[in-house]
Amino acid sequence: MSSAHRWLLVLLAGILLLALPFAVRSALTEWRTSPYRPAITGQIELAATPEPTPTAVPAPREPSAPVTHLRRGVVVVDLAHFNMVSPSQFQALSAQLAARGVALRFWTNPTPMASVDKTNLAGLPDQSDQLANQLRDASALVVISPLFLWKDTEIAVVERFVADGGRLLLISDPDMLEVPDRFLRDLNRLAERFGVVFHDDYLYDLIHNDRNFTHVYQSRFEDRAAKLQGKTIVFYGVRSLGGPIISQVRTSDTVQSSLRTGLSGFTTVAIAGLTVNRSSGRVLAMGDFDVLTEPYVSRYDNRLMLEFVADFLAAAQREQELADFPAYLGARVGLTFGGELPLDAPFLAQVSQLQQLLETGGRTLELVNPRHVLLTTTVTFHALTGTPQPSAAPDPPPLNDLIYVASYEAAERETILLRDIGIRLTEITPTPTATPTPSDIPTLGVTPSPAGLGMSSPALTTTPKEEEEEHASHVTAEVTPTPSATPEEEATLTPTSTPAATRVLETSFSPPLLLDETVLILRRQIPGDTQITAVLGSDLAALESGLDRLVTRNFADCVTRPDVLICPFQLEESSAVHERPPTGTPTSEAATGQPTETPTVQETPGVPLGSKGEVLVVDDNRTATADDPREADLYVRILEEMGRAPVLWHTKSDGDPNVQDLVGYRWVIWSRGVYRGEPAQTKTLAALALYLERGGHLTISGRTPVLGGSNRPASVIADIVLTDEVPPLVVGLSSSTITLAPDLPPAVPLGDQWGGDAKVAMRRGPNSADADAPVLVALKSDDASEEARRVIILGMALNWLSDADSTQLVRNMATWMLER
Amino acid sequence: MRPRLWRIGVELIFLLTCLAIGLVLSMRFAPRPIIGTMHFEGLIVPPSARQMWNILEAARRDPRVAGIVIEVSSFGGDASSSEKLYHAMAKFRQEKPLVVVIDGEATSGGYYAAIAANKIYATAAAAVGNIGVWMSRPTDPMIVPDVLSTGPYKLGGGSRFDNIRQLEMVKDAFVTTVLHERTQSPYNPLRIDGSILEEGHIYLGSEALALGMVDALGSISDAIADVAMLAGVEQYEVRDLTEYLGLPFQPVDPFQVLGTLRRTWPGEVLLLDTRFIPLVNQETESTSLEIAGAPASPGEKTP
Repeated sequence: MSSAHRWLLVLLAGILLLALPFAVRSALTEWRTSPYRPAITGQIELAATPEPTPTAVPAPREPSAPVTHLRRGVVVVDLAHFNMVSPSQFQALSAQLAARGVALRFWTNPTPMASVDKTNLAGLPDQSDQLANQLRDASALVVISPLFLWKDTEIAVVERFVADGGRLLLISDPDMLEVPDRFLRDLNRLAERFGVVFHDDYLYDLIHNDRNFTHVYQSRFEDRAAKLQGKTIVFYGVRSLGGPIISQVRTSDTVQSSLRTGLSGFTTVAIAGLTVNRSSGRVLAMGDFDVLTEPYVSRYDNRLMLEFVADFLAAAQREQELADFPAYLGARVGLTFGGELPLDAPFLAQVSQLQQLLETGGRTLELVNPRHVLLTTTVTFHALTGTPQPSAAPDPPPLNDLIYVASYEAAERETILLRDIGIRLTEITPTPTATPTPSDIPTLGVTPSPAGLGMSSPALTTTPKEEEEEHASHVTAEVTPTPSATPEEEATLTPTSTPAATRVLETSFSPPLLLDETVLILRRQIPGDTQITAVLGSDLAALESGLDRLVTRNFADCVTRPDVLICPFQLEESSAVHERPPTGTPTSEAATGQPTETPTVQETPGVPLGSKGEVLVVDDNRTATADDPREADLYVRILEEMGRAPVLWHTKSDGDPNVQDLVGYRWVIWSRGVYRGEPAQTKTLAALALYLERGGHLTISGRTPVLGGSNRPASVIADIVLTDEVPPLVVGLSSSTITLAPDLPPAVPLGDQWGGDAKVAMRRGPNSADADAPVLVALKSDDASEEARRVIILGMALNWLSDADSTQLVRNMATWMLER
Repeated sequence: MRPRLWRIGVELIFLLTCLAIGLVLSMRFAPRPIIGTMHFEGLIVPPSARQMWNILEAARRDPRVAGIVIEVSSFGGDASSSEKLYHAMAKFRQEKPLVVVIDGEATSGGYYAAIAANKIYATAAAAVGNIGVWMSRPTDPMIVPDVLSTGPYKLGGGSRFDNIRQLEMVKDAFVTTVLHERTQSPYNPLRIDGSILEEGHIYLGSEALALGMVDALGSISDAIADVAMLAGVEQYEVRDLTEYLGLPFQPVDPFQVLGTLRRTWPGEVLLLDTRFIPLVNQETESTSLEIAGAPASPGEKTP
């Protein structure tokens, strides 16, 4: 081998040796000092047998409707506090209640949720009035997880409701709140008033549950729920209850609380209530609502839980008060009138409303001949049961309740209703300031007739002297100034010297009540569970007022005593006497011993419109100053130019006209013009209302209108824009935009809210304050008869218009008002 | 004779020099087994689970990768993705060692994935556990006015109680898997039973160690040593797995998937840590309501 070859081999060997470590290391990359041995853990058994679609079983038999003649008190569900429930969740409960003759009603809040400030959860407006109205005919109230807090005033209404026998179901469900703020779920504010505390927890059972740890079985049933023992009841998300409660349902020992750790056997349903507010046993508290809803209610024996709740709610026996009228009445109610009571149209309309109210609640109102009713001193009430029933009716409900409407005299004569409550009729005679001479009366041209006025009563023990005084008092009541008389003449006509004997209701519990200003509404229960509701007043107007209160259930200004409401009657006595026929007293000559001549004033109700004159202009100048321009004079002048013969009346000297004074005129213009206004008296407003009721035509005119003004402060009118809503009223005016003189005093803007019949003929112009507010409003009733009511309200002084415009406007008004 | 000896000597010196140089160079440049490390964080949803599956599969197939260490920092995600990640890690573990280090938290679906490891390390203050499932409250079948379907459950997938049952099944699978894996841990087997596990507690790392939910307290260094030992390698490289494999991992931001969650049908199973809810609530209230399955109207409740 040559040397070169040898060196070549050495070089190759060197290269191999150089690469050998790489080769060895690379070859040994996957070599391990000890091989990796993965743990042998075996297969995980996760197999689950899929559940087949369950075989359908027959649905529970639907219960038949109970045979009841009267709808029972409803169960009111609170949704007005934006509770976290929806009406659709109450279907199962509603069906159960319906099977018990009880309806469900949702008390909602009309405010859109979007407009409610959810950051102020105590800021929901007080709804206690609405709640009181809702509970008037209710037997139970259901409150579930309210979003907004209950206010103290609302809670007070609930307390009174429960104290009266109403039942309360409180449910706080832990899975009903999506907003993570525990302040929201504070139903305890209401619940603790009845001794219930909902714990802020949820219960769970990791061992025995219905497919979820929060679906916990209930194992112990006690007290009223003892009949559920042995049944399978599951709650689906439930919280525990505490406080002085009577446990009805408890959980098993394996159930735990998310909050009350270390405890077991939690109460989930309880009867509660406190003696201090007479609510013991009338409150049911639950920690879960799902169990009462589909589909949960259909699992296991949960329907029995639903029936338990429905039984509780339907068992309410509320002690309804007079203010709850007509909730305490039966299915068939009789209406009878004491004495000889001729009814007029408004009164009949009021009776009709009463009938509708009763029918709304499933009741019937039947007029009963008073002769069939015997309300004697023993207060028996038997004649109604003798009323023959048509044979076609298979099972008519008994007619066992009565509404008795009568004057005080008739009530005292026919019943002992007044005596039973410690009230008797009597008179108080003040010390006379002057003695009228017999000749005073004839000069008035009025022939008094106590019999005609119907105020004498055999029930009243009166001396001849008293009768004479009573006689005189009625004469006084009849006398009113004649609008057209001069002040001097009026002075001579006004009798002031005769002391009036004041008729009063003498009570055992208060100073005497003025008989003519009092309406009594009584409630009596007599043996046989017969309810008598009596409306007593001095005359037909008072009785109508009393019936109106019953229909509208407006007892806000009444004094309340047990089963007695003492309500004020504001209508002016004289006008009421004049416009109403006498009530409850015999009118025959034999009964009174007095001549039966008809007093002049008794013709008033039959006086047709326009019989006294065509137009009465009332200058309401009580607040006028000497410098104030007289708008009424302007009206009179223009009307006289038109050939009309208006009669002018000054309130400062003549007083406010009563309804008798108004009804003789076809058109009454009540003018205040630029005078500083003051609120009208109630009796004046009532007189105007009665005048309109009779078909009168009324114009209210002035910057402080007696009717129709808004609550906004007075502001200046600079210009007026005419509209085309009532062309006859604006025809012939100088311009479609009328600019008024500067520096006029401010005028009260007219209201914006008028009925559907109202038209706005003029509005404030753009340069005026309260621009676009109505200035001239016209209202016309739908009645097609001649005597259809018409009202024009002018929210400014007529004097502010130019002579031409004011004349044209009054002409337009006259045409619109007096056209036939 | 002498010249010949001299020449042989020179040749030997040359060859030995080559060998020495080869040894030196091979120590520096020859390939060695790799202990791969990576950091897994964020929500476990299909995008992140898919990325993890790709990485794990590539590492499993790569002969140089002797084992991996995964730092887990996750509060979970949807059930299916969490299960997918668990199975991918369990498959890897069948061939190569895998050790998990809980970095901060491995809760719910994060812990589900972690139990596939040969060994679990945690720090004493780490959050561990929260075993369980939640979903939007199921609803009942309903008729959709504009849609005609072929079965009562075509649109919703099942009845209310079907969804409730399925929720329990997913939870049972979760608990069973934890029991299966952790009771067989050769280092620190589980010492609590399933009823406690399914309460859904979140434990500290130190508590989890005491209960057998993790194997040891330690760091990634301990985990690397354990992987090397399990892999039987003494000489190895520690490499970032995503860099080595060229498969970057992009964590999923929880807020990026809110839109997806909003479109989640009621009844779709989610595996979320309870602390995810406040995260969701950082957005608008309506978002939280939608995710919670609550009705738009507060007057309505879907039990």
